[in-house]
Amino acid sequence: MKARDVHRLLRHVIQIIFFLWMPALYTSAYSGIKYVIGQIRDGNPITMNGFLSTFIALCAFTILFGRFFCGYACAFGSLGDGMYALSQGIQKKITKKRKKRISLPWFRSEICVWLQKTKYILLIALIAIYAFGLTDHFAGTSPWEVFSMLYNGNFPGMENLIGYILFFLILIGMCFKERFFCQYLCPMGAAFAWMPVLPVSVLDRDRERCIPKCRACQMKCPVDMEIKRDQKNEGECIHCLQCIDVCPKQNIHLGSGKRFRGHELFFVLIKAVILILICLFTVNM
Amino acid sequence: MIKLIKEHKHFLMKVINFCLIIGICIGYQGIASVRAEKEAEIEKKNQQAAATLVKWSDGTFEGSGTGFGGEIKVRVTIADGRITNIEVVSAEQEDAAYLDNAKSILADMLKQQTGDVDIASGATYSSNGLIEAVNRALKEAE
Repeated sequence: MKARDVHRLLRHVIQIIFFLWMPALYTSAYSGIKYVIGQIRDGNPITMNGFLSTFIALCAFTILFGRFFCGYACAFGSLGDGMYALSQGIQKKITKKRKKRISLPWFRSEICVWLQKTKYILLIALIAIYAFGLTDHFAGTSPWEVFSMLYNGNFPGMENLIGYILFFLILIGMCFKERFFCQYLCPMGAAFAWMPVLPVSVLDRDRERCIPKCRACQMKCPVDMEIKRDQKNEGECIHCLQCIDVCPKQNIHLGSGKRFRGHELFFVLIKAVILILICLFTVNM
Repeated sequence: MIKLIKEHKHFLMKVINFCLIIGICIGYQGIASVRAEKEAEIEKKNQQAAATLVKWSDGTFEGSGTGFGGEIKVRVTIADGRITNIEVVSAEQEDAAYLDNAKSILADMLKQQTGDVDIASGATYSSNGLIEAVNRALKEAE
């Protein structure tokens, strides 16, 4: 078994654990934002509750370790990975030719990077909706709500029609672009991407040592990120670490230095354990 | 040093943003908790004032209460044992927009024949001040 396969297997195992154990983490964290805005709107003091503590815990975790949560623990992200793997698997069965398989980007990666800004606009728009108290006008439009209800075995009624349609469209998008929702639309991802991730937890590479014009890591990256030392667009990185495995010169490492290169598996395990502990702690609080 | 700052330009910008947002939230929290405390106090006073409510004798009566900025004075007219008119005599320290919003509860008082009505949302202090003032005036009428 190659190191690449071990990494992938570990990631999927962690994703499945979180998908089954904590499927609502992303919505509760997002409700934290909603709650704070609502309290400010009503002029009430902000008191700690389950939503807010989840939000704060995940933000703190993101600052320390990067968007590991997005890549490994978010149920909606895992759903996206599952849909993409499914669609790729089916297409592999239908056609042997790689070129014939449908997959975004049909666009160049620069345009994809530009499209990623959509999620920030969406987050700001949602905050504005909460701040002006228009939440009731948008009832039944949340694709997340539809997903969580379906997950729990309820079939939300027709008042959620718009939510259904959006969820369906997102599912289609997920089939053709890896991490479609996470990078283009996720408001929670936008909030996480704003967090100042400690430089030691960010991926880095020695550009001088790279094969000239090699873009293997960027081509492989589900979010079309170019690894740069100045950490521009670093917020997009979901720490899936596929770039580390694809690099022909094993040139990519965590910002903590080259010392730990090759031990990414160990770091992933540590982060997963810490995240599980954080979840246990906030749930029991 | 400058090289280090340049290298971590994006990180530092995010740190500043983050601190700003946290700062705003903490600042808001400070103001909001003071407000909440004040509100609870005023409510308590009003409840005490309202506890001793009985029948009224006819005439005009004045009462005052504490609004957001200071004293609010009202004049309540009682005819045939019923509240027939409530007017604000003075509310110098009150913000006009808030007071205007709060005055909407006076109509409710006439309708329900009591000083204890729901406050106008968005103008909690002025409303509470009005309620207190009316209840004091009604006490005079007992």
